Formats: sequence, C-alpha cells, structure tokens
Amino acid sequence: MDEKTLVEQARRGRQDAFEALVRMYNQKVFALAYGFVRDRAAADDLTQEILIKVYQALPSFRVESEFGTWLYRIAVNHVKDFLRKSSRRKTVSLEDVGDGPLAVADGADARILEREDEERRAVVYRVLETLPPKYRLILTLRDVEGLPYEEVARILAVAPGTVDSRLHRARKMLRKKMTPYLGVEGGRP
Amino acid sequence: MTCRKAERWLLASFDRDLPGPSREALTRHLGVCAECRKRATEYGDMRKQLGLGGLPEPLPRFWERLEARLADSRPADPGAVWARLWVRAIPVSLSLIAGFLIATLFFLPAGAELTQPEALLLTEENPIADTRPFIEEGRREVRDLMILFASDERIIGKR
Repeated sequence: MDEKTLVEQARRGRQDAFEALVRMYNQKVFALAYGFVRDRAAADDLTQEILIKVYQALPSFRVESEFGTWLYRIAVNHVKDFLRKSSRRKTVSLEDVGDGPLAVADGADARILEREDEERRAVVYRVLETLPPKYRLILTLRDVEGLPYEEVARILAVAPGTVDSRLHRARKMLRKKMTPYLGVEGGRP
Repeated sequence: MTCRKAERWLLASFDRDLPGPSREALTRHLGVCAECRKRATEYGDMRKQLGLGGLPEPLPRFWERLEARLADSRPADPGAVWARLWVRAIPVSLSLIAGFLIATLFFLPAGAELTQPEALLLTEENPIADTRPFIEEGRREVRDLMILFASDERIIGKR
C-alpha cells in the first residue's frame, strides 16, 4: 500500500494505517532526536511525543502535501522546543571528545581498521554535538539522514540559498573543530 | 582559483552538480593544490562518517508503547463530541423546562385586578357608552344656540 493511501486511511482513524506509517518513519525521527539528545531513552521518549503530535494533527494534514516533509517539520519544531525548554540540555565540550589526532591506519588488519573507523565516527558525532543547534540540525538532516537538499529547505521552511549557506558554514565549522583530530590545516587563502 | 573559492565549490558539489566549467576549474585546482586535496579528502571522510553511522534504532516494542500512549491522547472526533453533548443536552433541557414551569407557577405575582377600560374591552362593551347621553345632551344645547344665533342673523340682515 502506498504512503498516500496509508495517510488517507490514518486520517480516517485507521489505527493499522497509522502503525504502518510509524514503522516507516520512527527510525528517521528517532535518529533526528538522538542526534540532539545523544541518549537513547530520551530520544525514544521524544520520538513518541513527536508521533503523538503527528497523530493528533493528522486531521489537519492536507493530503496534497508531502507527508514525510510535514512529519519532519513537526519533529524539527518539537526538537527545537525541547532544546529551548530542557534543562537536561547537555553542552559537550571538546574535552569530552577524546585525545589526539586520529591516524588512518594503512595496511593494518580489518578488525583494527574497523575499530578505528568506529572511533573516527564517534569523534565526528561528538564534535557535531558541539555545533550550534541550527548547524547541527541541518547537518543531521542532510548528511546524517541523507535527505535531499530541496526537502531540507522545505522542512526548515527556508530558501534553498539559506540551506546552501547554512550547510557551507556548518561543514566548515565541523571541519575546523575536527582539525585537531585530522591533522594540520593550511592552504592558500 | 583561490583555495577559498575551491572550498566553496567543493562543498556545493556535495549537494548539487556543478556546472561544467566550475567542475573543471575545481578539478584543475585540486590537481595542483595539495592542501585543497587534503581538505577535500577530509570533508569527504567527514561526510562519509556522518552518513555511515547508520540510523540508530528506537528502543524495543516501540509501537506497542506508542499505541498505549495514543489511546490516552486520541484526537477528539467531532461526531462523538456532538453525540455526547446531545445525550447530555436532553435531560438538561427537560430539567430547565420543568424549572421554568415551577418558577412560573410559584413565583409569578397573582393576576392583578382589571382596570375599568380593560374590563369593558374584555366584555366587548363600548368604553364611552356611559358618556354618550351627556354628549348627546351637550349637542342639543349647541344646536339650540346655533338656531338662536342664526335667527338673530336673519333679523340683522333684514335691518
């Protein structure tokens, strides 16, 4: 059954249709929430709150719009509210990230490479947490969740040019903060 | 091309295809600038790490837990709301009507005595019937006086 039909049925109160939609989107919403709270229980709770909001707002959803985009907008707004209100908001400092540059192993065995890859990924995610929320959000949507550029613009309700400049700044900022773990920066201005 | 411009185009290339000349210029620059090549590798690696992280899974039995919470927060069905209101409205309306009737019976002042014109109207009698003889008598006097004066004018005319 396609998404539009499921949405239509869910709007009419069909619980099984809503369940199918939840199964389609819960992981994506969870990833978005987890990207901000970095705590599985809290992210799970946030995801549930977001999906309850979606369920309650379903009668007001216009069928001609994109359900995924609409759901993401609710999720993004909810996460923003959460960050504003939450006293649990955790500020990650670069001291939490780890020590020393991450060497890319050459010729080591597969297990070591895999471990190093995991460590590198963990560092990237921890550094991501130190970015201001609007940059963290746009990088989560575009580079973590892999949403199309145009959809990111629709979700955030900003012009594509704004997405462009915000992504540019976010990636530069992330790389700058990653520099101690990547090596020495340089180049022509 | 400067390294700054190369970085801008490099980052833009992650989101959309660069026009042919820009792509070629960037490729040429990366071919000669070791720093930008290194930077490009780092950006590529960073994006790969972000994307490769995979989406984390929610806690087990996600739907079952959500379903329980949904039951408590079901959206209000306008039909059901009206039906519930209607069922409540019947006894409320009946008790209001009964209350009004009781108030009418016990609390309204007893009917006041009718005034004379009201009583006459009620019995379909003419309210000026009693005064008619006086009016008639007055009219007779006036007619006599008019005849008197008229005859007086005839006398004056003859003179």
